[in-house]
Amino acid sequence: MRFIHTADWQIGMKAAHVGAVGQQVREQRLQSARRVIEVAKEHSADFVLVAGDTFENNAVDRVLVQRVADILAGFPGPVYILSGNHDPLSPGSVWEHPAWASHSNLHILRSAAPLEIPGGVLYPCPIVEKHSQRDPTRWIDASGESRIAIGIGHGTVQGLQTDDLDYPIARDAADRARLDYLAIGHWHSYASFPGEGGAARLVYSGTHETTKFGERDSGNVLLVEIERRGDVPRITPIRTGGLYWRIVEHELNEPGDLERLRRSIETLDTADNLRLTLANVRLRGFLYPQDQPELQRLRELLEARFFYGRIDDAALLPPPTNDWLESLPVGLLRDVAEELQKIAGGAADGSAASPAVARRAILELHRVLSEGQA
Amino acid sequence: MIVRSIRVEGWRCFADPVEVGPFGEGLNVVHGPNGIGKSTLFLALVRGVFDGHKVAGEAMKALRPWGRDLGPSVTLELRCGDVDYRLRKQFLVSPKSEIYRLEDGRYVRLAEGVAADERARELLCGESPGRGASDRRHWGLAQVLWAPQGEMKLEQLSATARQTIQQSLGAQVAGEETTAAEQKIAESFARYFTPTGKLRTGADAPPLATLGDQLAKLRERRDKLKTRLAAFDDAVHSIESLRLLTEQARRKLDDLEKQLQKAQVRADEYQKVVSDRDKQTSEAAAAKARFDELNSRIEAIRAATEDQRKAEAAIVSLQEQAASAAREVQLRTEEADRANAAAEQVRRERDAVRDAARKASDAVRFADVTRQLASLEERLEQLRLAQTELDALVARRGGVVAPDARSLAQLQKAIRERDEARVKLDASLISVVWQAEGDWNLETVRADAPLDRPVASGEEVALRGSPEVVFRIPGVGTIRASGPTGSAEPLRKNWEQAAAKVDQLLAVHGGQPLEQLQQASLLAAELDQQIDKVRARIDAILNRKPIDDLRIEQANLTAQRRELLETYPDWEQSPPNPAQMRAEADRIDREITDRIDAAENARQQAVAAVSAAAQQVARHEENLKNAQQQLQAAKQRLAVAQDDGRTDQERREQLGELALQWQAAKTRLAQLEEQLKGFGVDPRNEVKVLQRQLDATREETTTTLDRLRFEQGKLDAIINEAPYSALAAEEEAIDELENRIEREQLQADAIRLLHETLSRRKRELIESLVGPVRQRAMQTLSRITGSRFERLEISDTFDLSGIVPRTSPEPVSLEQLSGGEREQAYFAVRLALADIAMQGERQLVVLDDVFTFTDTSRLARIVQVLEEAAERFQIVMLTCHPERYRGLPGAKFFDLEEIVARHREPSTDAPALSSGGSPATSPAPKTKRGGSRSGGAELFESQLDG
Repeated sequence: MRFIHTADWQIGMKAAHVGAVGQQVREQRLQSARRVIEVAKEHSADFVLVAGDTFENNAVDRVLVQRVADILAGFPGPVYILSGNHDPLSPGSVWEHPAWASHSNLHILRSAAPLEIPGGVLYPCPIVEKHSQRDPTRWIDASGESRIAIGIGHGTVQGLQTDDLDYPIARDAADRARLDYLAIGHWHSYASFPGEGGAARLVYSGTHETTKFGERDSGNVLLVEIERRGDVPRITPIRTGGLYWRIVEHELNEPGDLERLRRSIETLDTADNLRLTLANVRLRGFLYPQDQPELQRLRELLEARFFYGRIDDAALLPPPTNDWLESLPVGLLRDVAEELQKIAGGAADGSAASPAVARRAILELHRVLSEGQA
Repeated sequence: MIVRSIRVEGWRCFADPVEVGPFGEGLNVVHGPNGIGKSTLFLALVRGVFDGHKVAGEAMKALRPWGRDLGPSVTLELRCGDVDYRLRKQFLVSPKSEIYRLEDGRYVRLAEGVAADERARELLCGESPGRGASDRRHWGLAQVLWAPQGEMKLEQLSATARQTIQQSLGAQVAGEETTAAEQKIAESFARYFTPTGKLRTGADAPPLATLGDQLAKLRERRDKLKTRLAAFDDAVHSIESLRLLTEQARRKLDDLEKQLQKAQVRADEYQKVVSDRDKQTSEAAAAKARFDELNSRIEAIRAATEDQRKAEAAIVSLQEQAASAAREVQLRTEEADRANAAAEQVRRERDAVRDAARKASDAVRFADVTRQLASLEERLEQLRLAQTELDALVARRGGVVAPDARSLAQLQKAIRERDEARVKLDASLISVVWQAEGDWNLETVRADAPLDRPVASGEEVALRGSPEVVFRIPGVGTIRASGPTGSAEPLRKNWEQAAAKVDQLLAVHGGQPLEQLQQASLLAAELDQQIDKVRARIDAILNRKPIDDLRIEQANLTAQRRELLETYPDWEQSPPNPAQMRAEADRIDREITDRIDAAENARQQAVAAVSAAAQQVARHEENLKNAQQQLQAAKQRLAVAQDDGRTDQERREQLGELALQWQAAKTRLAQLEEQLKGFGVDPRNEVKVLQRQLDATREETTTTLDRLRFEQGKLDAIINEAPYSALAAEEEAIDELENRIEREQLQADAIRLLHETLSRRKRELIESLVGPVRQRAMQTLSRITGSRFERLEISDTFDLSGIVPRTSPEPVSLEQLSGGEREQAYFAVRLALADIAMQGERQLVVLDDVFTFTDTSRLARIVQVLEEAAERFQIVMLTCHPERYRGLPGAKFFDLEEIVARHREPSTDAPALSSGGSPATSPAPKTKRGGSRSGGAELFESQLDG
């Protein structure tokens, strides 16, 4: 038996904090879904398991439902789709759409009852509501089954450090139920939980397309191969994600550091890959006024060459020694610059302005004077 | 820079050369009448220092003396620092400009032409006016130091002057770079904010102004989408709940139907038992009826037989009782007769009672009659006496003839009229009274009462008459007395008529005199009064009855008394006692009455006994009749009861059988009742209840299904809106917009901070400059005006923008001050600026008749200030009132009129120019000889060349 295990497509999800490219990020998830089907075809999978949270919410646009159904219908074999806590089998759910019934290879798993599948038996654990403290896999008992027994569920494996306690799944659920493989969804990172004899039969595939910055081991599907009943499954992650979410953290200490950073970001990856990269640049340290243009250039670079980029410069401080400020003639402008410097450094008591505003004011003064000199 | 002397020629009123000087280093007063040229002198100073020598145009042509085409020229001897200069300019005609510097006792040309113009301006930091004549903007420091006539107000200082002042104050407010940066920052600020610091709105608003609104709209849409998403969740929840309810309802329906089915079976069984019971109840009732019927028949036979026997016995007894009752009746009748006779006997004794009562009544009547008769006779006697008295009075009254009151009043009136007429007549008559003094004879010739007789001596004779009285005394003469004209005849006639009337009235009453008549009248009145009293007494006695009635009554009473005496003759002598007789009569009456009552009672009892006996007999007869009827009835009932053709034995046997039947029916009925009890509650009721529950549940299910359909419809509608997808897009847009707003806000805040910091620091800097000027000016002003003002408002450009009165916290415009105080305020500021900004070097202050509105007392204070200022400045006052400054020691006075006149007159007193000595003490040439300009110029030039 060979199949593809995927989950948590989260189709229609909001792309938080990427603003203007949110729609493109959402569209990319559909592209990735097509890649899943392509991977399934390429590897001659017998069937595809989608272990929940195919959609971000039951109230998504029904056009998306049709599109996903059409994408999944592109697989020549059966596709078994489980509901998750984001898209439970509740009234008005996406599973009531007629698109599912229009494709004969798409099977929405609506009841907790064993189901014949190519090469074995499937034990589905459909989710019917958003929250529950019930282990959805509890009902499974494949001890008397002679064929390859595959379970499919959605929930949180017990023992994970999280505040999310919905649908707890015992760590030994696969062994207890005597399953050869228990395909689960809910967490977006690929993870497997070894059971008896060290065999990993309880596995999160992770999301097929990364959903945010800092998400590890996501953007994959799993190719699962089981020879016969009782064998240890062979699991192969295969990348399907199209976007790269990179965090770049850097500390600026001297003038010119920002330029060096900019150059390194330019060469972060190939141009093609940069166009598919979302970059979150976090800067610490000192921003010298003379580096102000470089900061602007970096912004322009991110906007021009990256799929999306943002710079978090809230932690930047004015430099401790400022030749530029001391170069100002004694008089009004220098007095102003010194006062702003104090506020920027947080040393000005009673000032209503924040240090960030003062830093920007200094940069503005620098710009004005620079233009005058030019 | 100070001035030593000024020489003008061809300059308005100074067609000929005029030189004023040498000026002292302190206070100089150039005075003269109007039109003498004081302001022209000032203008020459200004033009000489600041204007280019080639300046032409109408402004310069106006400097020429009227009607002359001369070239105005001015020569100034100046001292700047330790250096003496001589500046000479000529305009319009052969314009030229030369500046000389005193070196080693002689003036050496320093520059000429445009260079000389520039050098001259530099002395006071003036500016070139470019083309055309200069104005105050080009005067440099003189803008502060020199005040033309009527222009005490310090107009906006030129940048040079301002800068010079600021530099001299030792501070650099803004250099070129700072100014440019300030300008750019101001422009950046203006792009975001209004001058009041509010974010711009409208067409020029920065993006930040509208982003807020956009964000608000996005948030509003987002909130609505959230509401729709919540509505989606609510609809889902509702539908889930409704589906659960529907499922529950269906299960409940199934359950109810099963229960109903079972209940229906039990109800059917119950119904069958009930039917059997009802049937059995009917049968038992029928058996009982048959038994009761036969039992009743048997009982009826027995009862009839018994009744028959009793009736026969009763008849016998009643017959015996009837005979006894008849005998009783007879006895009682006899007793009644006897009682009746006794009562009659007693009744006959009642006559005695009547006699006694009648006699007592007569006695009472006899007493009343006797009393009434006595009373009546007494009244009649009184009446007789009164009548006698009345008759006497009437007779007496008849003898009194008196007029009545009315007649008497008429008589009195007539007498009064007569007497009045007499008085009038006498008053109109002539009266003569003669008292004889001898015996004479009197002969009346004419008088009312002629008197012809001798008159004895001493006798007094009076004669009256009208219109005269004439009498003769033989031997004496005839005396004629006459009076006023007018006849007394009308009066006499009146008197005679009145007298006649009186006589007539007296004649009616017998001619008696009035007094007698009055007395008679009084007597008559008195008698009338007595008569009235007697008549009243008579009326009272009669009491409205005629006397005849009294007499008739008297006769009746007498007859009654006589009649009673005929019956009781002894009463004449011994009158009866009515009360005693009445009491005896009453006693007899009571006694007889009691006896009669007793006899009557006895009679009535006897009669009652007879009646009772008779009734008893009647009852016996009735009872007998009833008993006979009962006997008859009993025989009939017996016959009916025995008409079934059976014997008594047969009936008893049949009764036994019927009893058994009835008992069997009751037993069966009891069994059925027990069966019904076994069911407990009536299962038919349970069926009804279950049916109602079933109907209600069906209705609830229908309602739930309707609600489910409705909620499903709602959910479908929300799904079509795709609220989550729309919300995701909105939240992304909001996030993007918030980021942008944050960036824009940071930029705006930074610009605001930069602008505000710059403005504040600049204000502080300027305040450090303006403060001393304000303070010094305020001190000077306070010396002049007293404590009227609190503070002067001076801007950073040293403009006097307002003044704060002591009585108000807010500044007021200087236009609200009087003209005098305005002059004083500007004077104080000029002096303060000169003091603070131009320390170290003595400068020339020129004031051309500037205190035109200042009053005398304040001017005196100003003079004191000027006196002090003269220690620091060279002050040249141009005025029409030199007397105001006469009190100042050290002040130099220049009478311009005298100077002009002196310059016009030929003079040998002009001192030669000294070529040596200190430039500071060498006097300037005062006059020129002759009237030609060129001669003076040559002299001047020869001096220059040394």
